[in-house]
Formats: sequence, structure tokens, C-alpha cells
Amino acid sequence: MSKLKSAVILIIFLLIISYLAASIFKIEKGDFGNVALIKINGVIATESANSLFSDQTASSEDIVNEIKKANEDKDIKAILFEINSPGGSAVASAEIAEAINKVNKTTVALIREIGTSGAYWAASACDKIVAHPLSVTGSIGVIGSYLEFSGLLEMYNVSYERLVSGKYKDIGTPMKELTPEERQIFQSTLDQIHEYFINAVAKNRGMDPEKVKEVATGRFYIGSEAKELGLIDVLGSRDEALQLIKQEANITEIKLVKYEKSKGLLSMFAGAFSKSNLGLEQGVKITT
Amino acid sequence: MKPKRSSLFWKRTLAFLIDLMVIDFILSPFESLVQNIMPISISIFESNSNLIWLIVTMAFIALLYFAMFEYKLQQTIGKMVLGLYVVSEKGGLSIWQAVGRSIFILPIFPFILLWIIDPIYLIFKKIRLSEILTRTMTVEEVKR
Repeated sequence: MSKLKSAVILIIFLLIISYLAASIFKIEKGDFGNVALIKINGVIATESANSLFSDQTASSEDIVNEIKKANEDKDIKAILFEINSPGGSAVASAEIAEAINKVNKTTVALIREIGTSGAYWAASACDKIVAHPLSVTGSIGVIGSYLEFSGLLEMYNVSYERLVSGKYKDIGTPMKELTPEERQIFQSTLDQIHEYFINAVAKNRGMDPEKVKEVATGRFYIGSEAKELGLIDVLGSRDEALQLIKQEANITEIKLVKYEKSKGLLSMFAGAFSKSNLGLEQGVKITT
Repeated sequence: MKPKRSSLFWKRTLAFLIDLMVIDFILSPFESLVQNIMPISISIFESNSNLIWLIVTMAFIALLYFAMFEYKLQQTIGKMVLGLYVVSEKGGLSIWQAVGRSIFILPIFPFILLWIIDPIYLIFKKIRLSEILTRTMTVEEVKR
């Protein structure tokens, strides 16, 4: 028998095996779950900086993608956001909150250990917020603090040669003290972001902005306090959150399916040596 | 018999790519099932253990393709196109040698380690570790 003939027979044989094996499996789209679970863990940033040697980062880019995918999936009836984050970048937090606002399905946020600042901003965009009585939440405020080294430089007889075109170009450099005018600019910017944050929370939660302003001192609250202040809806953990989803989305049985970006070994190694992990090029960061 | 030498790296890579296309055709009955598990970003294994068996079954059929072709013909389709052969010390391959040299396809530990080790061996020693362990070799005919 010629080689070609043998090869054709083998391929037909394998095709039959493949067809028979495929007919054994019965997998429908809905088998994978009807409630998407999206985790917001770690500091919220616009891009991921996860690696073998760094703390976890919640990338708004990845989370927004996951939200879009879950929203587009016909089998997904609701989205559960499991939050364990102290907040982070104002822009990244706002991006996540805006993406949640666009979801046309039931959304529930579950604050586990911590869901403060930017993480609370994102949670506020959900239909309901569930938090453990001992979890930490709130902290509606903005921070832009940084270390200033001018005194240290002076001690070592190092001077800062200021060469700028545009008088505020080096505002926030750690090499020199802020002038009162520069301090005023910074404070004004932080106040504007704070105002934006307060209005976003008020709008998302359907609260009076003045009432949100009263609690938006940057103070954090434990779950039970937050419930009294109207910052969250239900005290509890995952069971309570799932129960709430059943009621809100009118689902009798919940099958959770985790939406997350898969991370390869190579990307972790690449991340370990990324600029952000080595602390390069970091200036003033405004975080919520 | 014509003289033979170790096959060139690029020829082996190209042959493997052709084989992947053939496997893709053989696994076409699974297409509708695979489309049901999209989007791929979902951590599907946590939600449905059936899927692990689906992936293992598909990998097993791919293993069958390499093992059967190399056992029966000493060549896969890709190797036929590129003029490559698989030989052992005794000439032809036993069924265990044929299975052993392609066992890396199964996505199961410890075989999965060969996904990294085999290419490294191939680049630096011009032979895969799986080939050393199964006492087989991929060769090509030398044209005179």
C-alpha cells in the first residue's frame, strides 16, 4: 500500500474517532454560568503591573474589558464585583465606575476586607453594595502627597538647577519646596477631583450631594457605620450578595463564572522588570 | 538506502506547523463545542470540569495523530512534505516509542514541562529531550 493511501486511511480513521469523541460531549454556552464574577483586587491603576515580586494591581483596562465582555454575553444575567482594594488612580477608578454605569444587567458590589476611596467609587456605580460589617469602606477623598527632598539635598551640598520654560513646569518636583502659589494650584486640583468624586458617588447612589459631602472627609468607615450613613445597602458576605442578585435579576439558580485576564508566566517575568516595579519615572501621583 | 542526517531546525518547525493545520482539520468536529466555551478569558476550568476532559480528549487525538503516523509510516504529513523521517536505533519505531516521543502534547503534569524543555534541547542540542528518552531521531535524506 502506498504511503499516500495509508496516510488518507489514517486521517479518515482519526476523523471518525474525533467525530465520535466530540459527540460524547454536550456543552452549551449557558453551562458556564449566568452570573459573572469580576474581582477588583489591589491598588487600582490604569495598567497592570502584576509580577512575581510586586503587589497585586487592579488594572482598569483589564476590568473594563471584562465588564464589556460580561455585558455582551447573552447568558450572563448579572455581574458580581468582588472588591478588596484600597483604591488608587482617580482616572482608573472613574473608568471602572463609568463602565459599570453602562452595564444593562444587574450589578452588585461585594466589599470584602477593604473597599475604600477609588474602590468605593467603582462600587457606588453598582445597583447594590454589600459589605461585611467589619469591612473598611468610604474614605471619599483625594490625596497627592509626596516626599520632598530639598532639605536632604542641601545637607549633601547638592543644589537643584531650575531650568524651566513655563513657570509651573516643575511643579511637584521633590527637588524643591512648593511655593504658596504652587500649593494653591495643587490644592485647587485636588478639590476639583474631590468634588467630581462626591458628585459621582451622589449620582450613582441617588444621594443628595450635600449629604455625601458630609461623609466625604476622607474618613473610612466599617461596614455597619457605612450602612447607617447610606454608603452601602446590605451587610453580609458572598451568600448575601448572591441572594441579592437572585432577587434583583430574578434568577432561581446562580452559576458563578469568573471573568479574568489570564496571566502567563512570561508576562509575569516581564512585569517583574517593568519600569513601574523598579520605581522609575514616578512623580506626583494623585490617587483616590 | 540513502544516507541520512539530523533534520534542520527550520524544516522541523515548518513540518510541525503543517501538522498543526492537519490536526486542526481532524479536530473540526469539536469546533462547535469550542465556540461554546468562548470568550476564552473566562476561567472556564473552575466552572465546568467537563472542559478539562474536552481539552484532554482533543490533546489525546492530536497525540494519536503523531503516534499512529510515526509508528505506521515513520512520517507525519508535515514530515512527508519536508522529506523528514523518524527513526530509532533499530530502524522502525515501536508503538511505545511513537507514543513517548509525542507525549508532550498531553496538557498534564509532568509532560507539560516538555513544552519548555523540548524546544530548548532542540535549539541547543538539535534533538528533543523526548527523542533522547525514546531513543528516536528525526532525520532527513541527503541529496547527492
